[in-house]
Amino acid sequence: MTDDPLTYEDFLAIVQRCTGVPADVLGTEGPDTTIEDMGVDSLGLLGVVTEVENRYDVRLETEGVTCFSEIHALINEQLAPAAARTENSVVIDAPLRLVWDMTNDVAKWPGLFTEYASAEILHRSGDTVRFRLSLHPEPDGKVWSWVSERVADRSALTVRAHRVEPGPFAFMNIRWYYRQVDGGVEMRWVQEFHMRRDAPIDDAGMTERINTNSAAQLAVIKERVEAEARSAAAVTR
Amino acid sequence: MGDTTTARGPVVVTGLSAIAPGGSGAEEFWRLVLDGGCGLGPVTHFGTDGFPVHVAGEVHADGTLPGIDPRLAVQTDRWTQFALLAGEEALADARVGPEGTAPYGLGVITASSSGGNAFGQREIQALWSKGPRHVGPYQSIAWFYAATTGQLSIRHGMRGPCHVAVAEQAGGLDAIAQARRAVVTGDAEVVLTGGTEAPLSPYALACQTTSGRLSAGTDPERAYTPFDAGAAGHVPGEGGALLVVESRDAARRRGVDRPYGEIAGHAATFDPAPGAGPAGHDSLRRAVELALADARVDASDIDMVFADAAATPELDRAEAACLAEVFGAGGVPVTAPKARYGRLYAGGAPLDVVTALLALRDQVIPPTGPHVRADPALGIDLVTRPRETPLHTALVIARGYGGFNSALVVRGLT
Amino acid sequence: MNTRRAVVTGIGVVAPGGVGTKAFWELLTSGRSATRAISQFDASGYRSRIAAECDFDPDGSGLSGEETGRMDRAAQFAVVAAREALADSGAGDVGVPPHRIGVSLGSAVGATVTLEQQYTRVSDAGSRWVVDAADPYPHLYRALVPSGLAAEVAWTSGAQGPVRVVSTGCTSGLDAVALGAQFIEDGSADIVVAGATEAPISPITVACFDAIKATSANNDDPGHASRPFDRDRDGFVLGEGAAALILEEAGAARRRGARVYCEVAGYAQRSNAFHMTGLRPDGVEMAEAIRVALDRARLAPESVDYVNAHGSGTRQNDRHETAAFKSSLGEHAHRVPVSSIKSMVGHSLGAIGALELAACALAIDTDTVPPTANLHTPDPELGLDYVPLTAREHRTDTVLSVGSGFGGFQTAVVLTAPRGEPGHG
Repeated sequence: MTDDPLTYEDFLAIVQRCTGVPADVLGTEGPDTTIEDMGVDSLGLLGVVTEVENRYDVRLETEGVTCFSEIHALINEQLAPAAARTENSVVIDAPLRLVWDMTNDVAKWPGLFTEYASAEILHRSGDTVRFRLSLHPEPDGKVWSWVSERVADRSALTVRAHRVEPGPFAFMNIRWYYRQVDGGVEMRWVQEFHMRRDAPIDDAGMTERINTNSAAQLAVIKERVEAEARSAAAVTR
Repeated sequence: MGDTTTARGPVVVTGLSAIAPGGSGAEEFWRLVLDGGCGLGPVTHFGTDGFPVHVAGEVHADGTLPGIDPRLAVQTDRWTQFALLAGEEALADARVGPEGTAPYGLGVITASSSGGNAFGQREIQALWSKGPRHVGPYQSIAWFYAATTGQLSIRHGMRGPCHVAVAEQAGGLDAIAQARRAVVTGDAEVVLTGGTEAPLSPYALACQTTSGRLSAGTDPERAYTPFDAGAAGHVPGEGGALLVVESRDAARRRGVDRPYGEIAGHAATFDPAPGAGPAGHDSLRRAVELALADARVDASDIDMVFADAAATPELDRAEAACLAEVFGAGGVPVTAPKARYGRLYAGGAPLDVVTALLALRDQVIPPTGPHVRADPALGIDLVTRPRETPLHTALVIARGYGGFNSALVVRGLT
Repeated sequence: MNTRRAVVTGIGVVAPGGVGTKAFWELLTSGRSATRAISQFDASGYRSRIAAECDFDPDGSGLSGEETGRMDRAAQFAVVAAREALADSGAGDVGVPPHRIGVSLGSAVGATVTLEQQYTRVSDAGSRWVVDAADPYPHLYRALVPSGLAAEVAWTSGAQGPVRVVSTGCTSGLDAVALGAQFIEDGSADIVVAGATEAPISPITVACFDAIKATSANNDDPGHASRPFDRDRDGFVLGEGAAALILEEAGAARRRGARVYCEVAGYAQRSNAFHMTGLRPDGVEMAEAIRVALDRARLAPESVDYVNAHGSGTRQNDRHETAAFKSSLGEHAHRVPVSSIKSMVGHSLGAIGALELAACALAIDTDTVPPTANLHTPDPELGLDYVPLTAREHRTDTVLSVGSGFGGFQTAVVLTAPRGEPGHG
């Protein structure tokens, strides 16, 4: 799996916000169009660089850079090697269609996972959905919340998701893989991420936390999907 | 100033513009003013709960301005964007382009009063809520008072004298006078001049409440009533105007046969320090008299006065008393169209100059508005309905908070 | 033809390194830099954490508690500088009526310190967009409109003639003195308090220059951070301060036997219409401003005895203005001493032009040229005489001072030794 830690689309959204270059110009100009030809001056470039540095916790050296695509590559050059990786899976004894539908119905995630207090759909376009997740409050009242986006590919039985507001992460990408195996449907989560230097926890700590938490959530999801499968079967019968 | 005209002839206005609550573009604005239409309304840019002011003159209900390249929009405050739109209109009206003038012949002289308010507030908020690294690169060029002059200069390739005059509402006239000086001395051939203001961001409005001069009225029709017995402060508004000035001969050479009028005279004075004697209106009167002298006209030559119209009892009394002393009680028609669209600070007086020039063109004095009834005790002939009458010379008065007085005479060309 | 000329008869200064004209000139002729770690707020989270700060005590400077309570730091600087200049000139006591006294005051960013401090109060430290308007600081409107700075100076000097703030960014100080001279030349005033003030050392100003990497990040060695024309320069050092010059009509000054420092002989302002912060290396617009200013002063380039440079300490500026000097002054550019006092007092944005003109007036008065401090390794690309490290005794009758600012503005002012008026030296 070799997703860019920062997608080109997310990067262009930052460029648009910082420089005002219209989306249609960014969309129609090729990656080789120079920053200058897009009508962006040195201050606009500085704005993009600072925003990227703030968000993704990278340090960019842009001397000699002429195109935005080069900056995108620079960012990923720094982020990709830093990635930590986790992989967790579970086999769910339920029809593929049910597993797929239930685990991709983001709005109902608070009832599928035990960790989410709410899931708010912000935007939906084709197979892409952007949403805000909020965890249950911590003992001190703090509520963790972030925006993610996922693109579901039903035919390939994969989902790509990433955090749009990375928060304590420099980046966080998740792939979901589904496949039919003996005993049901295997659902596998592969997460690649990197923590910011100012985050309260480092990559190793987050790896441990994700592995613990994923196992627990996958177990809950298995239980709930299988229960649904049983009740659906009962109704059909 | 010493010489009001040169070998190049008088300094004339060849391009107008208007960005105003209720109507933008000089002609649309002029129709609104003549109709006495009201550009004031409840503040919609943000909620004013807890503010002692609820009515303002907004240019657009939402915050975006059509016609600004988004690449320029991200690096400019609304106040500068008003000026970019006004500059396009005024230069097109005057048919001025970078061709045909000397390399350093084009200048930009604007007034500013409070700078890039909303832009600055957003960046200071980013700083204090997220940290210094979240202040963007454009803060350094958008917030300061010279941003508008600089952006206009760049936008239109104007490499001659650039200047920024600041004297609150009075600064708009000072800027136009400075432009006239640049033309008279030959420092520039053509100057884009005037001013704009965008004072309706939350923090800027909170700052204004401490001036003690804002109207607390909630009825847009009655919130701003200068010279009325019920006057209780002004309504702030956004917008302004830029004008193109040049020498008459230069205008002729460019084929402009009928300029709007002449910038004929100007003077600026300052009130005595608070507590250093009675506030009075001696300094204001001196500004008016010096401006008339500069224009080489007598009081009897003035056909209409565009008043500052602060709409506080004390300031209205001072202005009315000044006019009575110079022109005799009820001796000159006085108007204040701003009562229908608000006080635009650095943008207000240039818009008054635009209005005065259009009044000279159409030979009609625009009204203060039907909602005002002049307090008889003030002894002024306040124009509340359009008045058709022969018009040749107008006086525009502007006072800036703190004691600034400025007066400008514009004259029709025959 | 216009025969009224403006001369300088009084100087007042609030500057880093010391309050008062005397302390200012001692600093400049010593070649010391007044830059230090920022003390006015906790700058630990900033890229540039150094500035040239004024050790300014409002009480000790004669301001009342009421004045301090209503005035932003920039207004306090301006009033104290104006009072010193008025006392120095004696012009306030010669019976010129108030309506013949004017004020022209430059400032680039106005009452930033007050505006930012009060903003944090009404916004709950930036947590709300719609601020709390229930109980604002009562003098907040004075801070919003920088014209309040000129009003304070007018009140303290009894001016009732033309009073204005000039806000052309970093050329404000030069442009304000030029406007003051115009008031005299046009006959609008007989005395003008002309100068500029700035107190920009606040979080938002430091952060906005951080964002464009314009300021020096030489935080470990503040004393050597401001190094114009040096190969190792890395940006400008923010400064603060004010200077006021008393301008009088030359004939009137002569008749009352005033001490005359110099005459404001010429000025011009041009713009590059290129970029808000960027400069083309050829400096043609600055060169044009210099040519026009000299022309108005009816002086040849060869008559310039000293060039007070913009010298902000950025590579871009150094190349830009050096090219402008070479093209406007010709061969003479290689003979005339050029220096930047920003190496010692930092770059106080709108105020610095007035501080520089005060320094130029003192250079004419004392025939001494202030040095460029910290100039240990001149940039070999430049090649002019930048008066490194130590002040120089040098016959100085004609000074050219230039400024360059955001917006693309380029200003040149020419000061000349008094023409036979008594009191010189």
